Amino acid sequence: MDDTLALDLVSGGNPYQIMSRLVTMAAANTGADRCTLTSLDQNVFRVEASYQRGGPPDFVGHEYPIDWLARQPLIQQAVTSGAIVVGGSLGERSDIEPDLAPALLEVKHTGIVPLPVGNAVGAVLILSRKGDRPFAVRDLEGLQQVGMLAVLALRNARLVEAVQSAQQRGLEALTLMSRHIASSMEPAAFFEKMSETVAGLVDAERAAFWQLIGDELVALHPWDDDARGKAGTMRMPVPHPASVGGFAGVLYAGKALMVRPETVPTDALPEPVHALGNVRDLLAVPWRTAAGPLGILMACNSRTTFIDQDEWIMRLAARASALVWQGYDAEHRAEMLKAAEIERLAAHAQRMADLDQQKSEFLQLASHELRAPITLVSGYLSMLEDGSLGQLPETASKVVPLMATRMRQMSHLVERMLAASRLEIRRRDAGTIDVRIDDVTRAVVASLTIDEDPRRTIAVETTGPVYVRADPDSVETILTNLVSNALKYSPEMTDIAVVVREEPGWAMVDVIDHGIGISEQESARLFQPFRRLDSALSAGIEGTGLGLYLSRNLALELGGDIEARSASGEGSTFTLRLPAHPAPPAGQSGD
Amino acid sequence: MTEGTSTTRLLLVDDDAALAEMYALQLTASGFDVTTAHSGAEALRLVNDSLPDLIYLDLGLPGMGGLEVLERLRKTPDTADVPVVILTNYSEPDMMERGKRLGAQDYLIKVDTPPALLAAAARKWAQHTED
Repeated sequence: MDDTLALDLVSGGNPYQIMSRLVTMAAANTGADRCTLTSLDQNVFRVEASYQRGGPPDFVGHEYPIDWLARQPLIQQAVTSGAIVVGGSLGERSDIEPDLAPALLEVKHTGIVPLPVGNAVGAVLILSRKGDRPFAVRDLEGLQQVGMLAVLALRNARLVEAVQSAQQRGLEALTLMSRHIASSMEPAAFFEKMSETVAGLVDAERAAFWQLIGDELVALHPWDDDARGKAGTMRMPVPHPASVGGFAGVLYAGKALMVRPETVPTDALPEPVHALGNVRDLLAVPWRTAAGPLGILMACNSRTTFIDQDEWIMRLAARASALVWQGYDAEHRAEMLKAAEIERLAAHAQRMADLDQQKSEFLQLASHELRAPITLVSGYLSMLEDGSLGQLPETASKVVPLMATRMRQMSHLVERMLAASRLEIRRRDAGTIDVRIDDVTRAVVASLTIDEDPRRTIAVETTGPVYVRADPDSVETILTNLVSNALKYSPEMTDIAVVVREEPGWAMVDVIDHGIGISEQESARLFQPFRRLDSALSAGIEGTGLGLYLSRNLALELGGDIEARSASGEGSTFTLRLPAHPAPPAGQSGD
Repeated sequence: MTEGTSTTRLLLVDDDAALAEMYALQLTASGFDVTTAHSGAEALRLVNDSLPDLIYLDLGLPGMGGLEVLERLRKTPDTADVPVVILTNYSEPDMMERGKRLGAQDYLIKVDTPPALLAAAARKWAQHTED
């Protein structure tokens, strides 16, 4: 064997170079004038390399249909038997190809060396001599071994090329698909673009996603301009899950369906596809998620013919699209849930607002209706008192002031109810200013000491100016209520203290009494409207049961709260807490 | 209590007949010529017949409410200037505001207004016209 050739074969050099050296070496070793190496596959007989004495290589790359062998008995015999065949000229037939004729006709002897690869002959070496010396089989035997190695190298090279090409195609497919996935397209646009890409990648005229909707497969988009022009969407009935092959296998068994005119006749196309018109061949793959089938991805009318790699590309596209579909679906579900939740909350808010409105209106109407009889009775009582209705007997004139007092109490109760109703109707708007709560406290204490019980003093402790941002009337109402409660609910000779202080972020006012106190059970309903303490009722203390309710609501509206600490019989501490506010700049005092 | 030859004529509009009677009693005793009406329509008819010197107008009237009566009075040239004092138990700020905007001279809350005060208010607001 030629050393250079052996080195090439071992080192995996360029296969075409190896072929070229092989034919040159074979011609030299056997004294042939011409030598060609032709490869065979299922379809084609192809010239891979050639040598001619005194001339350039010719016919390289020429291909002949495999049935051409029938016209060359010597070659056919070698291919069929796998044995070396020797004989005369190959150009003795009258139907020889015109381009081959000059080369073949000058030949007198031929030797055919089949080069088996596995069980079949993958190539043949054809040697020829112009002279009269015939080939001997034993002279050619050595070529068979080295030729086989060369053909293996060729096959290997072809395979590497095919893999590289497939990898290139796959990479291109991935790049194009990921580009769609990364874009934030609407679902309809996404699936149409993906289909176009798939059609391009598998070289098909048409491609579309068909979604499983009820008992139909419905195309998400028209798959060509012709379909685009037609009214309505493309749809077809879903095959029965028990049916075998066709789309049933694609939908339910995750199989691919490939219909190729040369292997599977176009008649094998599912009937509904025929109805779509002008469909020659077809490749359909499942479009599904882990949860089940979404539909199918179908391409048809390949410009060459669908191959296995097309199936791989379409499966990849269908898988990626299923993930995207799941994303859209999750997004859609989340939006639906969000919308439903918003609707539910809005309905709830509306219901609460309606109830609130009804309650306030009821309270308002009730208060108003209560005023009418009070007006009449009070009016007549005042006329009785001032003598407008004539002189009263002495016994009668004694009870009239009593009646008038009780009527005023009743009137007071109604007024408190009205105030509560107004508080709920009118949501306090931002009539807030900087308020020095220590000043307001002192003013409230001063007014109550004069109004209610001049005999008692209330100690006010403050650490300095304490500011809140609030409606001053509200602050005054709350403090008046808390301090007057302390006066009402504690005996005359006990002390009352009011402490204005600050905690981080809060302004605090403690109103501390040593009165009847509040039991644990009572404290739970302290801030509810019309709730009065049993102890207060039994002690005969007047009140409406609205004061604390109103005050707490006002405090809550101002962003604060009122808390009570007490033990029955040991007095109580009510603490008003409002958000502290920094002191205003000099000259802008809010008081 | 009659002052001079002419008497100040008051129209008292209130659907509560007992209350109207009580006010009329007090006002008549104070020397006013009092007519009562129990609905807005009746009040407008009476005003049309003879213009009073002052109207005490309730707001919660059946059918045509007091504020509508006031609005109609103000829109009619002959009655546009008649003094009107609202006398009601509705003390909602927005109703007070509307009453004032429609040109009521005063807004009295019944429950806070002893009958005797009505006579004083009538002396203040009545627009005495010579018959």
